[in-house]
Amino acid sequence: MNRFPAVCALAVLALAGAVAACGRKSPVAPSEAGAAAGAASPLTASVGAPRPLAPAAGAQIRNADQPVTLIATNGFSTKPGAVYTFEVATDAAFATKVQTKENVQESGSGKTSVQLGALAAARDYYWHVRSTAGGTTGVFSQTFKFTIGPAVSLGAPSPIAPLNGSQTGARPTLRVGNVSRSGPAGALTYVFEVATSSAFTTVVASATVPEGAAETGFELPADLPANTTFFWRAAASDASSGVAGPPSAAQSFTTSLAIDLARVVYLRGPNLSTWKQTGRIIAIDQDGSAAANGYMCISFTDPGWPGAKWIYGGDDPNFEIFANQWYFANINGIWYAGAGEWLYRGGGTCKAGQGTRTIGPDSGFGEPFTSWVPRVGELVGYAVTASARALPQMATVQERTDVVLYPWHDTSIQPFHGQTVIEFAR
Amino acid sequence: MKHALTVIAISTALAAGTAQAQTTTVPPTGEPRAGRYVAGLGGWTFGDKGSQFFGVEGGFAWTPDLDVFVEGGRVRDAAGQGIHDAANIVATGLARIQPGVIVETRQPAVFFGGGLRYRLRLGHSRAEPFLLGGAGFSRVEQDVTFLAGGTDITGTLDQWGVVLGTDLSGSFTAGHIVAGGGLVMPFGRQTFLEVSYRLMRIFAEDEGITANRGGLGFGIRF
Repeated sequence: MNRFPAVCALAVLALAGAVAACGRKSPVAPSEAGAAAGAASPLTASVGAPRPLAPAAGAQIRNADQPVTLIATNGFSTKPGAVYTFEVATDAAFATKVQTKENVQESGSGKTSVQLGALAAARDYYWHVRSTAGGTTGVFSQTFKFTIGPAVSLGAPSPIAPLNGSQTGARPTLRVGNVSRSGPAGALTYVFEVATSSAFTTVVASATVPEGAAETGFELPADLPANTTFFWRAAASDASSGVAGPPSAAQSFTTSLAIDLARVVYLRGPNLSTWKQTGRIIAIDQDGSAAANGYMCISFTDPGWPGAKWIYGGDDPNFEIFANQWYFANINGIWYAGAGEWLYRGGGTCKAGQGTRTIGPDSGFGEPFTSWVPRVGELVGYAVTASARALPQMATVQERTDVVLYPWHDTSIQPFHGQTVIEFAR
Repeated sequence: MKHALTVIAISTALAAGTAQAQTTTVPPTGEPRAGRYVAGLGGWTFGDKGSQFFGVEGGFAWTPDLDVFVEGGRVRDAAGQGIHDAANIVATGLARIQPGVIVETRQPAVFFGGGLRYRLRLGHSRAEPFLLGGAGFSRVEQDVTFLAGGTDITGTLDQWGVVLGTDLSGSFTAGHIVAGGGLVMPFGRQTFLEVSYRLMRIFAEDEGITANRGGLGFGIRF
């Protein structure tokens, strides 16, 4: 009996069995089969490296902008489920790695990112990224360098004025002492905020101003409502490092004697509430005594207002005036105002004849200003405008200074015991 | 793999049943039959990709109607869709860096296997149809070439940030099954021509490769 055919048949069956077994080269345990189904493949994937996107090569990052987020444009792979490895080092050769983020799942957005932990300030860093998919670990991408800027810290400004409980005008100047700082801070700016509550939930005015020499101030650009309590604070910031310091302690002030230009009764001259403020009062020097001729000096920054041809005759047909002094009196709770003395270039900013008993009657403003006799210490408002007393014949531009409040002085009634000239700090 | 086992089992059962029923059957032609044969085969493949193949087959008569055969050969390119898709992913990724990257893919396969051939009788005709089924192993080579501007960059892909996996490089061995049929046309006393079609399915790990082999052969019985 020839057994060769039977042996061959068995060989064929064995071959078939072997082929069946060959279908899976990496057998898995039954308990693992479900999880591995469709995933366990001995053919590894081909992968292409991701590309670094941000921070861009050479990026300068402020220390305050940490944590840094690394963003890479996705690479590609022939099998799904890529994970990324980000490495950050302090040298280009990655000998000193400071952070490694592994197994970062590839994002479906086309860009995969990871947030780093805090990095030491004032250092250069290098980063690259690679992907792993389907059992293949790709090569690292090109390396990008970025720099974390120096650490800067700022203190809180110290309020100078107005301090808690102060009485102010409509546009007080907020002043703080400059902040302490550490680190290589750049040019500082200060953010001033004025609010109706100490919580600063409703900010009615704010501004960012550059740091002054020893102190920094901010003059409100518009009148605040009269007889209202406000709170203010300031904080310094360094744009170059992105560091913002803590705010100053909040201070309150009340605009109890503020002049609301829209509510002033203008007895002579135009309504100034619509005139643009282009100048500001620098100092007031005034004495209502007859012995001093009732001088009234209102110095101000001259914006260069144009001259208006003098229409009242005189020796010089080319004579021009360019400004008028203004006086504001609070009579029975209402502010009355009018354009007063003429100012011409070369003639200075002091005028005579504004005595305690003459400023009213000589004003020509009409009642009740004509009967007004300021008391010593009474707050009187002062301003200077472009030509405003003989409109429209002598009209030029509708511009003015701010309006300041200054206590009335009369050395014949009460001698000065202190500063006679008030300079308005800015 | 269940399909492979099923085909083999059916073939084996069919062969065994036929062998038992015809152990005493004499060939209708009454011609003496040589028990062994060897043949050379060649032809075209079609399926996932058209190509050519060549091979050698040998066997012997287990029963008057059933041959046991072994075969070996080479398919020039059995590339399936899977390698095309994977290669195109890489080429597209490379094109983002260097426009104009193209890819050429081939999967040459060397196969070896065996099985059973069942001869059908056509009265007194000398032509002899047959059906066959079998199994074996194939070694498949992943031959992928990336060209940028006509220059082969396959060897420098790491410079482009690309690492090829075994899905696009190297080679692998996988089992295969084969089934088909054909017609043997004897001429002379010992020689014959063969026309055959064989469906070969290679169980590649990610995606099976199908090669339809249609070919001609010349053989000798001895």
